[in-house]
Amino acid sequence: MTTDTIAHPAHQFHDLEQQHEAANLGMWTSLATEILFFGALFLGYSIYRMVYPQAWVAASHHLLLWAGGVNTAVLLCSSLTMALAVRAAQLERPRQTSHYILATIVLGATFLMVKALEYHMEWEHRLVPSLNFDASHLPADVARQVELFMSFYFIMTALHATHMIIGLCLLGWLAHHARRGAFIGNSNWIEMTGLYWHFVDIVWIFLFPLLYLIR
Amino acid sequence: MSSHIAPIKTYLAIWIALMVLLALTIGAAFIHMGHLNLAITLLIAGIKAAMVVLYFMHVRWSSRLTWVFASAAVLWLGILFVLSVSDYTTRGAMPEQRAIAPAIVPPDQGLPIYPLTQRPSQAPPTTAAVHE
Repeated sequence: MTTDTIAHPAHQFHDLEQQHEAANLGMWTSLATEILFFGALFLGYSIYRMVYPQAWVAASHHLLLWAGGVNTAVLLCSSLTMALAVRAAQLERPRQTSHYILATIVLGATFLMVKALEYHMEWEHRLVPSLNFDASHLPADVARQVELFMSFYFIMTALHATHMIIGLCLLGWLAHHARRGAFIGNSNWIEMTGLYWHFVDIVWIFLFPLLYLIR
Repeated sequence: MSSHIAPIKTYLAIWIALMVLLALTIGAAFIHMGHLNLAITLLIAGIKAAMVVLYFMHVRWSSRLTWVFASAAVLWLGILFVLSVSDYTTRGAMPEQRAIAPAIVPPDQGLPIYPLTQRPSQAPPTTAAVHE
């Protein structure tokens, strides 16, 4: 990827503006499919929450509220640094762009480390469905329902974490090239990765209160 | 580039608002208000998501076509939820249905869900309750 190829539109576009609009719409289409992908899990979660409201409350108390809260704050900060990275790229400041992207990577990695610590503690507390689950202090039927909640918890958060890891790989690639001024004149790559990163943040904005804050 | 470039102040203001809303949503969870808790939680999450979409994701300054694409995702998500939830919440609304098979979840525990596998014609004829 060199500066003179990216600063000119690809041959199927009239100009960079048209290319930018096409990239933007393509990215939003992809995000729409992602919203429905996560949406199905949110729907399953919601229906079982209506069916087993008490178990959902009991299970939510087993999660680490402080860890979820810290992680939400970390992700909101990473969205800010990502927005500033896009801004720096639009202003054609390569060094600043790569610094903001690196800050986003550090925050994203922090999120994953806290998440890993949480998973570890949930394993220790025997809250992992099928593999290591024991809620014998609860009545048998409630224990089964708590196990169901924990299944939703692990599938949804692990799917979210997978998206974070993909995002971090993209950001690492961008930081490497941005530093060399590869995106001068065309910041599409950084803008589209930014859209993806903010989407992952929005998924967590809904996951956090729905999983951790049922009192 | 024709993209809109927002001042840093705008991004910082949105970030501060997001952090304040995060504190609010945690605080509100500890005040017991029954069903209002879930409504407040979803309202705050919705406002946060809208702020991220409009400002961090630049939709506010994007073309009308981008608005259509972004809204389409929410519209389809709405269809998914409205149709599915209206199915589950109205099962057992008919007396015959309640008579054929017991609810999988007793009504006093949560939302009673009735199985839809049996139709009245397939019900065992000995079940007197069918003629209820």
